[in-house]
Amino acid sequence: MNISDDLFRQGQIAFNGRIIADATHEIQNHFAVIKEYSGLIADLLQTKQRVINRTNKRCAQITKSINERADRAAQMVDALNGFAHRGDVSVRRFKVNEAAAELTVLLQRHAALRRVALDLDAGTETPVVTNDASVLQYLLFSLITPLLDAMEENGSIAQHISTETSGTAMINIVADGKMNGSPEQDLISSKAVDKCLEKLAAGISMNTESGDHLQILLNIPSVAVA
Amino acid sequence: MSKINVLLVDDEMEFAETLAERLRMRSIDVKVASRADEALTILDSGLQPDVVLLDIKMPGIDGMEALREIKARDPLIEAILLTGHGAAASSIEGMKSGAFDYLMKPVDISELIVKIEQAVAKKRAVDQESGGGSGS
Repeated sequence: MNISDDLFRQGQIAFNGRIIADATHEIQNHFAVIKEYSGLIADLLQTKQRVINRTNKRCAQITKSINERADRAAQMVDALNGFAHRGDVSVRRFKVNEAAAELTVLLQRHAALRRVALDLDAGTETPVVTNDASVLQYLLFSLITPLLDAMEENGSIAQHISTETSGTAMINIVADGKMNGSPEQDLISSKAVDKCLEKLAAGISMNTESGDHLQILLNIPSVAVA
Repeated sequence: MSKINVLLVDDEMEFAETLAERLRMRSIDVKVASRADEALTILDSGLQPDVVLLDIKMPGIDGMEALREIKARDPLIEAILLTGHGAAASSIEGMKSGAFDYLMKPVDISELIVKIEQAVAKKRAVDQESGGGSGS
């Protein structure tokens, strides 16, 4: 079941490419909306609009929407920037919530295309571990995307993060919804998942109480800095 | 040229509704669908657009499959692909499947209008040659 470091690296590069492609697509969408809104303002100002109040009201709505879109684009760029820097240092102290939040933002487009809700419940705890954040993100990606792809519309995937003990984090991924095939079997036999767990020295357990409910429990410890 | 009818299909509803509003301000009739299956239902209900503006990447049936379905229903309907995908391959595949042209998002409204008018002129010329006149 084990794979070489070269193959693992190839998989990680493919993962990075996929994340960048989806994120830039989404950012482009935000810019497309912003451009249309700004064009609409110009159109409204050019028309022989006699009802000034209505034009003003519409322009106010549009500028509010532009602000919201700019915020969403900025959030996406922020997540993408953080994601790009995760690999700068392989093992270091990081907040698990932040690494998971970045990936969750970057996977929203994929989730939206599948019409599945993808949420992160960071709770009140902020577990900090010493480990490889980029491998953790790859692990989460390798676990979540097969679930997104298998899940029918209106399903949900929620991640709950907590501190197990000092220096060890627990990530509980709960998938609810009708799924095609047996994604849990694919995850068990996934070489990428296996290698990520090995690199992180992490533990995993899965629980499928019924066909529509899957729970994955990850235990992310701290490791020694090389 | 009689009034142009456009069916705009895009899952990004704020983009679609805003673009539709701007096209309507330029005297183009626009119907909006947020999904490909919704667009096909609209076509099946009897709407005969001159041009379909079609996003490539959508939930469910994607733009490429929708294009083939639209062409199967009415080969005379012209389609212009809108994509933020950045993938030339998808757009070229779309051209092979009968799309009139493609534009990258964010779109320039003047460029889009020119493309729409060219597509409509082609459609109506073919329509006349075949002795049709779809009434659009």
